Amino acid sequence: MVKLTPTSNRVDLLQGTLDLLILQTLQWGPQHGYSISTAIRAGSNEVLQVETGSLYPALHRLEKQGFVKASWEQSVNNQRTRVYRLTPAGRKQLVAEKSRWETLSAAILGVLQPIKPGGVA
Amino acid sequence: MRLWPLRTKRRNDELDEELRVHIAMAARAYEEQGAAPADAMNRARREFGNEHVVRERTRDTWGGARLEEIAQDVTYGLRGLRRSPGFTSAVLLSLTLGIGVNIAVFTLTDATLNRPLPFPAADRIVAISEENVEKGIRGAGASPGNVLDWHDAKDVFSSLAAFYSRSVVVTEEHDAEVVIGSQVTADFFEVFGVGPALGRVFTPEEIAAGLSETANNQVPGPVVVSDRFWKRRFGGSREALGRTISLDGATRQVIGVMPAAFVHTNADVEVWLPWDMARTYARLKAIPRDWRFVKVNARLRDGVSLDAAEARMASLTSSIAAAHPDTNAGWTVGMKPLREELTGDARSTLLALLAAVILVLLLTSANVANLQIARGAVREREMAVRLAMGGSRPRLMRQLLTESLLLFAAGGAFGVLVAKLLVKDLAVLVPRSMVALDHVRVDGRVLAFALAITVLSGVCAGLLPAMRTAAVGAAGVFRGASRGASPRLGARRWLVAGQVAIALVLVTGASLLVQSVWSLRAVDPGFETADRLMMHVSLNTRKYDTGERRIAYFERLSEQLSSIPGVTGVGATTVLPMAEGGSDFNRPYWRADRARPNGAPTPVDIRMVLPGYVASMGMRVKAGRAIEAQDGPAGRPVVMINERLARATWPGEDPVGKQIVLDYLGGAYPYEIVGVVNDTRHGLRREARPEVFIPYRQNAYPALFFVVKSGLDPDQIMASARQALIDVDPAQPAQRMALMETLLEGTLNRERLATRLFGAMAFIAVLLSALGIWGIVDYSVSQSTRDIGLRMALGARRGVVLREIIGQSARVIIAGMFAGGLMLWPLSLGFRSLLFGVSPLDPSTLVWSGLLLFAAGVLSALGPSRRATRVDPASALRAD
Repeated sequence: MVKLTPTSNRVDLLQGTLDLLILQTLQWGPQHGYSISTAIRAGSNEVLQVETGSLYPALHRLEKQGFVKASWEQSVNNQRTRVYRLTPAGRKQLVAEKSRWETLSAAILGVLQPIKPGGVA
Repeated sequence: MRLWPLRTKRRNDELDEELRVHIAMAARAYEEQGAAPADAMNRARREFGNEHVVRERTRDTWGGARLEEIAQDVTYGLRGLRRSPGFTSAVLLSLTLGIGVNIAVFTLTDATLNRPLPFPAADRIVAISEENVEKGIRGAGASPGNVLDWHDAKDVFSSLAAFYSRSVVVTEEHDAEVVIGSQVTADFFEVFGVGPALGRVFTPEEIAAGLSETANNQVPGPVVVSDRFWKRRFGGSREALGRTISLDGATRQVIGVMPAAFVHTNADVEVWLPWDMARTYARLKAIPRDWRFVKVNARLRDGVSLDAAEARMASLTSSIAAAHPDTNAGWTVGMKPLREELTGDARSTLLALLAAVILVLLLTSANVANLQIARGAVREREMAVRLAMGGSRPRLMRQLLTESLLLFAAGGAFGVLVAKLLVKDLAVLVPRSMVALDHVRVDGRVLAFALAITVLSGVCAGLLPAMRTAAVGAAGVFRGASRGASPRLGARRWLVAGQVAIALVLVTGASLLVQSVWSLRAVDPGFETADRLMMHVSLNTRKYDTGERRIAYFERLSEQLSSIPGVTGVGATTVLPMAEGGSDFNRPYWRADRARPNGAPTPVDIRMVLPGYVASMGMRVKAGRAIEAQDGPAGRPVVMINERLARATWPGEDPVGKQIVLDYLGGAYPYEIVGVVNDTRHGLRREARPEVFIPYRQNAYPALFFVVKSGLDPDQIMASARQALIDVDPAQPAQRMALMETLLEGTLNRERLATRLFGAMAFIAVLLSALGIWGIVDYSVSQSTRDIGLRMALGARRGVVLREIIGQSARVIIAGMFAGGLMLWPLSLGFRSLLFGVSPLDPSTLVWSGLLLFAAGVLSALGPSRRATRVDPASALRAD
């Protein structure tokens, strides 16, 4: 789904992670597929590179689920592009996914760095 | 689901554009970083990855099978099928037959066993008959005297009616016709709960006023007619109501027309006439209790169970028997739901047949599966390439499944056509009353069944090969064909073993049926059928109201028939073997030199015959003489008896000259026995029964079956016989005319049809199993050519290799036959009623069927096995 670049081995991220990254990226405004992939790459300091074979299925799936809305618009270069924007449902989904992700990553971190005796979970 | 092709096309175009824009943007970004345009484009493309895969995966998220994909699957499927026309036509033919026969048998079974009878709350209607366990008599008619007493059971029956069929002559100016009429008692139409489509039915007063044959009414009596009669004689006009017609010479007024669906015990009934039993027998000193000839149907009261009604009738019957021991000792009643009565033993026949045709369909499906797997093995490379090119696995499976479903859909469509043709012929298997023509037809319900079995068997047959072929996996792709036993063969072995099992069941069934027909044909009925014409003449009892008139008519007819050039014998009887429509007059008898036995004496069948009957039938006089012209009304009462009666009553004695007492014709009188004739079977399956023949001139019954022996061809003798009838009385037609041979063949119709069906199915089964065996042996030989070559190079002898390969297939065959043997056991029970003179688990039949199947299997394994032994070791080792 998402490749870690450039040096590390390929790692498949957890299901749903790409959806979260897309929703997060769209939070700043409507974007087309290419700019979403570059935004994710830039946002992760070139660590995460989104494969198109994952990106477009994910975009179309999110559209079908009603989290994003797509429309054809003229780009700055006067090119017709398909632009995706968050829907209200998508915004809610983003919040829910984000808090889930935070819980999850905190939990994983907790496992990786055991808390000191006397600490609170 | 996107099922609109236009919309889908637009969506596809848009996706293509979206992806193109992505690449273009990436390329421009590289260009802006300073790359040459061509390099930038290449790099963008490379990074983008496989455009085809992206497009496919994205489309997959759209969900559902899109129409264009289905269309594509169908196109690919059709192309694949066209590429192998031999495979396609073979499969199509077996599917058409398999599905067609299934639909036809289902149609009939459904109509007979499932469809509601055309009466409201039909499950509340029961048929009541008298039975005598001691004498082994079941389902006999009921006697009028007993039926009148049964009306006491009003607490369990809301209505109870008796009826019997008789022929009625309808005359209208110069036109005369004989139809079947039913005499019905008061509650008849209430029992069935069906009212007339037009007009009304009989009022209680009309029933009481009676038919009656003796009444000399000035007002025409009422008649209710069938839909068929109404359409034929009145053109279906409402004007028919109130019209008068002449029935048996009496004027009757049409008061009602029954709906077409009103068909019960006798499907041929066209007119219903009121009948007051008590009045009919008023001139006798008691209403007869031992003339058991009427049929009785009753409707159970709400809330009364069949068991409760049976218990009530049992106690009623025993009190009747106590009050009238002479006629009723030993007699009880049997009661069953009307449907059971009407279905008779057709139920087991139909279920056996349904089981058989379903087996054939299974077998056909297994064969299609097997062939598909075999083709799948060949197409492994194609599949692997398509997987590697980004084809998704579910998509490939779906395409393979589509191919199977296409085959089955075509098979199903042709099958429906085949079924339409078959259904009418198959209807011979069930009683006519159950298959009122509008019931048996290929309708929505049947089509639903057809669709269900087609899709079900198609998916079953297609899924296994589709899974196997699509499971090839990109991994195994270019590794080349696997060596040695392929795992795919395992499944095929099982399929073939299953086919062999089914084939064994069908072959055994078919050979049992063939033996049954042989045994039936080998039965000597005791008379000859060749060159004999049968003609049933039922007199108009108003015109021919006295014995003298009847005798005069029949003797004139007899003379007229004898005078036809080429006719060598004429005789007549009240009950003709193999022909329906006579009445047995089953009456008590005893030896005149002994006292009347206590209780109800054993009855004997009584027939009236014209002189010449024995000779015209090719029967043989065993002792004494036959009935002759001298045995007239003035002479002393004489009879001729059959051997069975002679043996049973005068064992070791010569009955000729002795006296027999018959309790018949209003009292018990002695008759002198003048001769003994050989036994005749009235049905090939039925043992001969004790019979007594009375000279017609001593008891002039109004209906006779004539037998005309001649060397003339059928058309000629029938035309001459018709002319003879017209010459004697143009207003008196024959009810039926047929060749005796046709009659005899007719009694074998059911057996022959079942035999042909099973034979055809067994043939298909053996053929398909042999094909299956050939297929697996051929495949395993082609897969192990190198092994075989190696072994032969190392000195293995041809015979040993051959034996080994054949041994492998023999194991499959034997496993299949074992399973088939186990299946046979429960199925044989349903088969019993179809068989004659052979047990359903006849050991020699089993052995022979097994041997036949084994031989067919080994023979089909032989071809490819021999190919294996002709492998040239050197070239086999050098091959790839």
